[in-house]
Amino acid sequence: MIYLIGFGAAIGSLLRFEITTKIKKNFLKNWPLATFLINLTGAFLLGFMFGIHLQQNFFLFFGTGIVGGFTTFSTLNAEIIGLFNNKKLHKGLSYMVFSYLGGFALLLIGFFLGKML
Amino acid sequence: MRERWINALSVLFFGFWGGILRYQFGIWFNFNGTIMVNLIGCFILTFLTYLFLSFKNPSEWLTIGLGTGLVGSFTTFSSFNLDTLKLILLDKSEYLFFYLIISIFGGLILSFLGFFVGTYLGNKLTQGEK
Repeated sequence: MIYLIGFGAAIGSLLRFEITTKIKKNFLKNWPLATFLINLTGAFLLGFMFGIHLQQNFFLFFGTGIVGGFTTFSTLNAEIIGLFNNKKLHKGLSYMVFSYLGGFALLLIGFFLGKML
Repeated sequence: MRERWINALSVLFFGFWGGILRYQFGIWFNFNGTIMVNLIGCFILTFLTYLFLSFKNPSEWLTIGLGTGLVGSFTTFSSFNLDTLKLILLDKSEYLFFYLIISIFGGLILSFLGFFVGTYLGNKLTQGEK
């Protein structure tokens, strides 16, 4: 069962990697759009799965595995620090605030949507 | 083309283990598990990134595998948000406050520490070459 999570996380990580390379994040210069979109989408999906009471093994694979591996907390913070370090205080702060507020808002939307279904 | 495949395989392999490790922390420490994986991951990611930056030819598959695969999969933004909701539903407002503060500001501080230590160590290690 633990491998279920591993396989899911592997898929989620690869998806994140592909999307990040596609969007070309320009790590230290520009607004990190790729991670932002990934994290918000993932938050929505996880809230949704929690809301519809996905059966445990499905939740472990799709939620804990794929979505958990897809979203990332470390890259978010690394990018904030990168922006601060490049004296882009405004971008760093707005990225931080929008990620946390947007992430939770989307998780809630997903959750209530899942509950309604 | 070949490199692309090697990088993708590396992300798959390391992402697999990052996810399993994260799950184990959750089993062992419940909500504190998410805090721990996220904070540890924040330190390791910037540490590795800035350590590798100071090397002349860091192997791409390894940096991508460890950073994007292992640490990226180990830490999680979605579960962080789900934990927030769960704590609200459980009406644990005091712990929620602690959880949010330590995650958000702890993550920043540990990312900065990783950046600092990684850069410092990288400079030390490459000093002999210059």
